[in-house]
Amino acid sequence: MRVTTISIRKRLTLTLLLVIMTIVVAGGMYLYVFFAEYSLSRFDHYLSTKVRTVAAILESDQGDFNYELDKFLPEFERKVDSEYFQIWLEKGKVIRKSRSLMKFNLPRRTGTLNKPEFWDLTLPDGRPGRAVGIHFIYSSDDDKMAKEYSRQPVEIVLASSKNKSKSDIINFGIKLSIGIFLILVAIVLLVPYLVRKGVSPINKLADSVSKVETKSLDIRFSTDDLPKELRPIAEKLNELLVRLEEAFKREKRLTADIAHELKTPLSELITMTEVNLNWPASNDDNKKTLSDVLDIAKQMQTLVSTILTQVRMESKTQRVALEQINISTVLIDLIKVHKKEAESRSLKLESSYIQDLMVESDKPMLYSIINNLLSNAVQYCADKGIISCSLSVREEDMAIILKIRNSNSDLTEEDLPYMFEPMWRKSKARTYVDNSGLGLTLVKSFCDVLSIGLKTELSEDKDFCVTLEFLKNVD
Amino acid sequence: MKILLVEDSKRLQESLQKAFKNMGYAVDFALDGEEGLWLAQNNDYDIVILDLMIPKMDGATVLKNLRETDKKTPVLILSARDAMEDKVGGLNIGADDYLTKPFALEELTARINAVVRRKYSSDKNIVKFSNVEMDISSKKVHIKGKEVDLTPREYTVLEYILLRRGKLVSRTEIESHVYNYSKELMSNVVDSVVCNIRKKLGSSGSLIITRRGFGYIIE
Repeated sequence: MRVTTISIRKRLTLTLLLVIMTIVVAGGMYLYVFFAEYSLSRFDHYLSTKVRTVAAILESDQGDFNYELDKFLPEFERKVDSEYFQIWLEKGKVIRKSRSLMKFNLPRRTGTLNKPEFWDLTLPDGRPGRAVGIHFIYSSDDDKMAKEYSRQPVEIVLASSKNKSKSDIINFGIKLSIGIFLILVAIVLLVPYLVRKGVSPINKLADSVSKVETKSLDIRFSTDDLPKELRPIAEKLNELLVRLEEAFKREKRLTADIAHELKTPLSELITMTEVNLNWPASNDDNKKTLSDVLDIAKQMQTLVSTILTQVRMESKTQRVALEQINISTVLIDLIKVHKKEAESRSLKLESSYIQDLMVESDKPMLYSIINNLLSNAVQYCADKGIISCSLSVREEDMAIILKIRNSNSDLTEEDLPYMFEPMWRKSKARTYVDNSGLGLTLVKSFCDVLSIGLKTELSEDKDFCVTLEFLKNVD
Repeated sequence: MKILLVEDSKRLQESLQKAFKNMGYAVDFALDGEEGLWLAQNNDYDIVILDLMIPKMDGATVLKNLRETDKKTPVLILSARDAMEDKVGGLNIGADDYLTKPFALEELTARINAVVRRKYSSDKNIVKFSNVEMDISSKKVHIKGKEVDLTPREYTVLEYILLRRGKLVSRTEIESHVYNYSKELMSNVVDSVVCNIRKKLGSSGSLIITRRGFGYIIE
C-alpha cells in the first residue's frame, strides 16, 4: 500500500489554491464573455437607435435631408471613420444613401422597427462592421414626399465600424487579466498563510503529541486554547495518556515486583551458600541452612508455577474441565485445612452452609479459589479476630452465594480496586513471605473463566468480605 | 569496622551477619526502616547497608531523613530494584553506592571497603606504618613480607586505629565500632585486644601509643 506523506497543510493549501484559482479564472472568463455580449448588445442598441433616427429624419424630410444629416449625424458624411446607411423602397429603388458610401451599396436585410435585424459585415473601407436593417411603412406630412412615397414600405440598412466596441472589449480584457493576475498573486500569498494560521492548532497539538515519550506520560494537553473541532481529540488523547500511564506504571510495578520476588530468594540462596562455603559451620547449622535452602527452593517453585498458571490463564491456554461439584463438601474440606492455623493464632473460624449444594465448575480451579480466599482471610485477619464463611442460596435468582469474611483487616477502600492485580500487596516493602501476591490474581482469572461473580467489600468496622456468586450453577 | 544492615529478609540478614562477623566486622541489624533510621541516627557506623523495599519506612525515606541530619555515614543501597532510575534516584538522594540483588559476597565486601576507604580519604588498599603493611582488601597484615596471624577482632581493632592515624581513638569509640551494638563489654576487653596486637606486631607494636584515660593513637 502506498503511504501518503504529504501534510494536511500542504494538501489543503494546494487544494484551496487550485479551487480558488479555478473559480477566479472561470469567473474572469465569464465576466469577459458577459462584458463582450453586453458590449455588443449596447452597440446593437446604439445602431437600432441610430437607424430609427435616420428613419425619423427621412419621414420629416423636406428636401434638406442631407443638411439634417450634416447637422445631426456628421459621421455619415466624413471620409475617415465614417458610418453608412442606405434606404430603399421595397421594390429596390434606392431613395437615399450616405455620402460615405460613395459608389458602394449596403446589403439589404431588414427586420421590423421593433425587432431590427443585426449582422456582421465588412464595411466598404475594409473595416469590420456591424449592420442593422429595418423596414417600415413610410408616412409623411410633407406633400411632396407624401406624394412620392406615402404608404410605401421603406427599408433602411445602417452600418458602423465595430472597432470601438472591439477595442473596449480588448481594453476590458486586458484590465480584467491584470486584475485576475493580481488577485491570483494575492491568493498564492494569502492562502498558504491563512492555511498555516488555520492549521496551527493542529500543528501545536501534533508538536505536543510528538513530545510524549514513555518517560513523560504525565503530560496532559490543554484543551482551553484549542478550537472546538480539536477538543474531543485532545480530550481523548488525554484519556488515552491516563490509561497508558496507568498501564506503564502497572507494568513497571509488576516487573519490579516479579524481579523482587525472584531476586530476594536468589540472593538468600547465593549468600547462604557462599557464607557456608567460606566459613564452614557445625552440623546443626548446616542442617538449618539446608532446610532454609529447601524452603526457598519450594517457595520459588510455587512462585514460578503460579506465574506460569497466570500466564496460561491470560493466554487462554489453561484447560477447563467442567463437572458437577459438591461445593458444600469443598468448603468443609478446606475449612478443616485452615482451622489449625487459625486456632494457632487464636482466630475464630465460623461457618454456616447448606449441605450438598452442587455447582458446575472445574474442580482444581474451584479448590484453588476457595483455598486462596480462606488462606488470605486467615493470614490477614487480626489476632483474635473472626473469620466467617457462609454458603447460601439467594432467593431472587437461586444463585449460590459463598461469602468469606475476616475481621479487623488493615485494608482501605482504595486498596479494593487493585488487590486482584498481579503481585499486589498491601505492604510496599514486599517482605519475603510465603505468598507472592499472585493468589488473588489467580482467583480473579479462575472466576472469570468459570463465570463466577467476584465482589469485595469493606465494612465500617474494617471487616473485609469476598463474595462468590455462582449464577449459572444453580442445582 | 561497624556495619548497620537494614534488610527485611531474615535469612539474608542472618547470612550477611555471619559473613561480616567472620570478616571481623561488627554488625547491627534492623528489619524495618524506622528501626534502621533510629539506629543510624543514634550510632556511628562506618557504613549502612540499606534495602529499599522494607516495611514501615522505605529505604529511600530512611536515606533522605538520614541525610537531613548531620550524619555523613556512608550508605550502600542493596536492592532487588535494578532499573536505571532506581539506581540514579538512590545515588541522587545521597547513597554512596548501589548494588543490586542477587550479588556476590565478594563484590559486596569490595564495595563496602571502597566506600569506607573513601570515607577515610584513603585511595589505597595497602596501609603502611613502620615496617607493617596492612592490606584492607584481603584483611591481612605483614611485617617485612611475613604474615602476622591476627584474629578478625584484632585485625578490626588495628584497622580502626590505623585508618585514623594521627587521631586519638577512645576505648568507647573502638567498642562501639568493633563490637555489636547489643553486646555488653568488659571494661578491659579493648585493652586486652590491643595488648595482643602489640605482641604480634613485635617491635612495631610499640607504635600504638596508649594515652592514659583517653585511648590509643598511632602517630
